[in-house]
Amino acid sequence: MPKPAIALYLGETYASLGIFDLAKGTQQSIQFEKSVFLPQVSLKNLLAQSKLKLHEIYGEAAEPVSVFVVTKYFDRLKQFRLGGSISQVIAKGFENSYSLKDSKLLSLAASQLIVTLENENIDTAFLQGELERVKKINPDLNKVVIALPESKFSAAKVEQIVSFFSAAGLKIFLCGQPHNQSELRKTLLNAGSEGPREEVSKDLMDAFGAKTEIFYFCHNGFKSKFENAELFHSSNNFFAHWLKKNKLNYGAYFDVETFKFLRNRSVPLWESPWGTIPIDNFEQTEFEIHPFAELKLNQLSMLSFDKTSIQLEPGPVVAGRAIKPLVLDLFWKDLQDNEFCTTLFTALSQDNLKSKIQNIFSVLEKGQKSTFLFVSGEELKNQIRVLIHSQIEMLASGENVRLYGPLADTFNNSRHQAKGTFSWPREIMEMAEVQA
Amino acid sequence: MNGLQLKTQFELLTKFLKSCSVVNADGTLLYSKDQGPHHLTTTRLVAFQIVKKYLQPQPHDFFVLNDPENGGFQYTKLIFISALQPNLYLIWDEDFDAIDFKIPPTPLYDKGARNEFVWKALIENRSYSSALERFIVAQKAKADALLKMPQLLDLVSSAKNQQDWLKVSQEVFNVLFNTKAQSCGEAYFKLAPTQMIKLKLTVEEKQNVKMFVLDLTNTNLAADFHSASHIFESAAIKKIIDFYGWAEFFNQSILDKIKVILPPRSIVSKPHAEGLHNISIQAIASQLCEHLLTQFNNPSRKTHTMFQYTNFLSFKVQAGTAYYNNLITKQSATLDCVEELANLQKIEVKSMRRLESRSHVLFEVKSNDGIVLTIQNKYDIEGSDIKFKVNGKPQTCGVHKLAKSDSVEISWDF
Repeated sequence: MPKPAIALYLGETYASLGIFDLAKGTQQSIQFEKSVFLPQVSLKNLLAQSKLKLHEIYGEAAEPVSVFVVTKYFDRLKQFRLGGSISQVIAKGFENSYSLKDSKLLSLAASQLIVTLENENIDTAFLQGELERVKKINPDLNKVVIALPESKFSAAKVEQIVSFFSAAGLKIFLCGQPHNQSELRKTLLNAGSEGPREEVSKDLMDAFGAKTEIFYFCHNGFKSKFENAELFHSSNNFFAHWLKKNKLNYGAYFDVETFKFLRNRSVPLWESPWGTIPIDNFEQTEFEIHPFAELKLNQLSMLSFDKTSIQLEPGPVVAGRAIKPLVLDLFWKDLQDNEFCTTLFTALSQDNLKSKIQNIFSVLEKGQKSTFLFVSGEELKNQIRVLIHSQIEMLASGENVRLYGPLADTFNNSRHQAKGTFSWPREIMEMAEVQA
Repeated sequence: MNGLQLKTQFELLTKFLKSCSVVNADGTLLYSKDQGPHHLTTTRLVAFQIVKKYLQPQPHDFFVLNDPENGGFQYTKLIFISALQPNLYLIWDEDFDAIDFKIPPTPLYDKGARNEFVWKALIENRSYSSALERFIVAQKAKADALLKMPQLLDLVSSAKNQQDWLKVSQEVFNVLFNTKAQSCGEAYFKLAPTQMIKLKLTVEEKQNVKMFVLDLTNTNLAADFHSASHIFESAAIKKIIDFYGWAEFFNQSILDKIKVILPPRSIVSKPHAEGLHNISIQAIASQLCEHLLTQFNNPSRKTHTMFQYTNFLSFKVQAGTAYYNNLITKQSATLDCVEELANLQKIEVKSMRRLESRSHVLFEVKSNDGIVLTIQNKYDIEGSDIKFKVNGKPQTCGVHKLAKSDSVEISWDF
């Protein structure tokens, strides 16, 4: 009896999906594989195509299906303040202050949605009044974080408050250690990322039916129950497990949306954009060269790239629509030889896109006024390679490092190399089978 | 090598250091950066010159010092000098908060071999010996990691590449100098009726020579508030470099264009034995420079304003063997101590709120061993939005020992 399964990698800008049979064990190949660039093809669209394929392959046995997800999608949230639809029930004196470590960190809660309690002497009428007040501010409010210290509020009172908000139709996120600010931040983050997780899960359920089982890769493998904060490390955790499996201390990962170095060493705290959060994660170093960083002439009229990435949409020129060149576009010739990229960026083979890219670089090169700082696109590309490989050397203390990811081939050199062709669905399938 | 390649080599060499300088055997500055709250470019150069003069460094030697009267900043800021190659030296600084004694220029490793005599004298028989040993070993490892990259070191230490790099920076200096106004102006900061730091800044091009002159001739002689000249210089230079956008190309070519005139034994040229006022004097230097440069480049030149010092609060908290650095400025607040001490149950947070444009935190000491709190800068209680009280009373610069049940209240605008 076949056990149809889906392997899904959901990145910030692209998704790779594969269909396989969980009953077949480890010796099998992916039956269907497709990658899409999300600014151009939606996840829903990819899932709809996969559903058709699933029925084509398995007929009536196509349901129920198990979906194994590895994701980096939640990194999209890292640049935002969260908590716009979350109320916080907090003890008086502790309002709207969830991190003192650095005031420049992003906020996890909206100050207008705070319900402050001075002591236990509150009744349902008070709570009702407060709920109406915050609902008036944000009618879409549907979650509440409750963080009341045991020293001031009895378990019975907290239970009463939980019941009240639960009955009012709000999803409850109860902080187990309200005196611990990092635990409180984790609870707020769990609440703040609930919406995006629900959206992804709903898309999967809508596509493959209500009986679909969804497993996300968290710290110790694929799980159906987890804290949302764990999803921020899904792809890194997966990579770390791959390192463990291959008995490697380090690895460097390359795809169209990130270049990074990962150490096979777990740390208990995550320095998130919202403050320190107590969650196991693996030590990673971004190479400070983001594939989505814009290439432009700087104040010295020198061709250079920004330190940070620009918005994820419309993406690089190689994707077809954009006109601002990104670091990834420097590698356009290499991407033409990469099977994954030719699937993802379907316009890449078109002659008019190639001339468009060449024209953009030609304009940038000619715009450089100073001869002593002149850099051609090709030189800049080589320099990026040198920078990345030198950093790998330093981070790995001279050890050879295995490269991983869909673009690993592009960054091979004589010392640090990829092994075989990379495919996210195949990697996920192998991990899912091992776990099964 | 082109300009980009040369720049990249220096960036790589200093990639994992926050505050460091690279010099060649002649002491020519090849690259420098200061990413921490304190600025030490010329401090590190002074440290290197002292080591070069008295200890004749050889390749793979490794030195440390922290003496504020001899090229140091404060006891807690250790300056390391690594002789990477005969024509290449790396100098960097890192904080080790427990250190409370003076370290003169000291050879920790001779040609790569640990100097056991020095090691014993410096590290052993201290309550924090093992932490200090780990710290120093970690610093040595930074130099060792670079020594494993001979190709990079060869490129950076090549005399030709160094000359080319200095030329590139010279060109960059010329281009960016012309993007800002040339002018001359004065500003002063009054410490007391007879204690004043007065800076005259001139930005000009004369006979094809572009120059910055920072003239502090009219600064008063030092009384009890003073620092070494390199302390003021480093902060002022850093401000100029950042204002003009030269940071990525900062080397001797640019440094030579900044002339600083300091009267001997004045507030800004008399080292303090423990460097107690360095943080305050750097803030004054930085703000004076920024004020003048902003004035020069203000499109409506007529609206000249008086210099107004922007207050800030820098304080250190010691609880047992743990140290926490905290800083509150107009732009941001970083309080490392509160959460960690609360989690360790050394303090109890009574209030922590951020409402109506004001942040407020109140905590009570719970630890029987107490807590030591040191306000590190000249902090103006009256003219400040930042309020700092112990047991309800405002506190100023200095050491405050807190006992169990003492309360600390800090509030500031955000």
